[in-house]
Amino acid sequence: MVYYVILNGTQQGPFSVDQICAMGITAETPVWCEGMADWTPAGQVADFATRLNNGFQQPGQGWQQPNPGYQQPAPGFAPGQNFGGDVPPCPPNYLAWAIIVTILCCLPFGIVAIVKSSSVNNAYAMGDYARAYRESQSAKNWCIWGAVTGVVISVFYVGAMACTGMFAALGSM
Amino acid sequence: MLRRAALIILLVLTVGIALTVYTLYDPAGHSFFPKCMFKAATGLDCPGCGSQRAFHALLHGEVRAALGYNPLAVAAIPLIGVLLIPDRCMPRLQRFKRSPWLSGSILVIVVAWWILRNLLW
Repeated sequence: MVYYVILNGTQQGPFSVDQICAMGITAETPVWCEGMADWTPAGQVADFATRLNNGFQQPGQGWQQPNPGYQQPAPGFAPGQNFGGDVPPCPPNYLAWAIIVTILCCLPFGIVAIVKSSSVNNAYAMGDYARAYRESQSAKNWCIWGAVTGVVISVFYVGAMACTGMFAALGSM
Repeated sequence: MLRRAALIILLVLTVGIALTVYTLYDPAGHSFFPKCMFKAATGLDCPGCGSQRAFHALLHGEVRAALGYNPLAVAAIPLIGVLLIPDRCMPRLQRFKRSPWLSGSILVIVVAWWILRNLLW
């Protein structure tokens, strides 16, 4: 199937679909082939629409084969685990907060958070990105629980001490 | 964006109040400072015990005294500072901050310090 195309105001062709795609068309570029009633935007012609939807929309760039590992994860990999070549960024490990919670809040929560935070890095280093993400969330939650528990107990303690101090002062009057 | 700004203001306020309180009052001499729950329950020191006194000493420039109260807390301050630097400010630090051995060794040091301080001191 050969198509004609209107690029920069001039009609060109006939070309194959591949050739026209390589010329840097957009979904709005008018194309026509024998049998079509009129010029039609490429986005509405089946032969071009599928190509355009696959990310081929940068004018001036040649047609590129989509990364084969991108659409179909290799069998045996769980979804979100390892898309060959497409490496997601490492999720945050909240290590600083885990140390702060351990030292300031005086709670085992902080230790768990450090353990989780170290699992984030291990999982990421092994390429298990889904687990790295889960451990990251878990580290964050342990930090929050530790900090909240520590702050609540401290506020209660300071409040209680202030009350006792006040009663003691009243009693001695 | 607004939530982020509120968080930053809250953080600055908290740090400011904490610095003022820990400079003006000595945790060793005032009973209103929060006590460690682990110590209250077991009588043993936790890895963080002594950090309030250490901060007070540090704020008065007494590094040696601070190290005596809790060397781990003193060592943690610069480390936390480095870890809190955003990635986009210093991309070269990313590898250090994300390395599995860093979090692993921190875990080992904290637990070892927890056990040793109760056995030796």
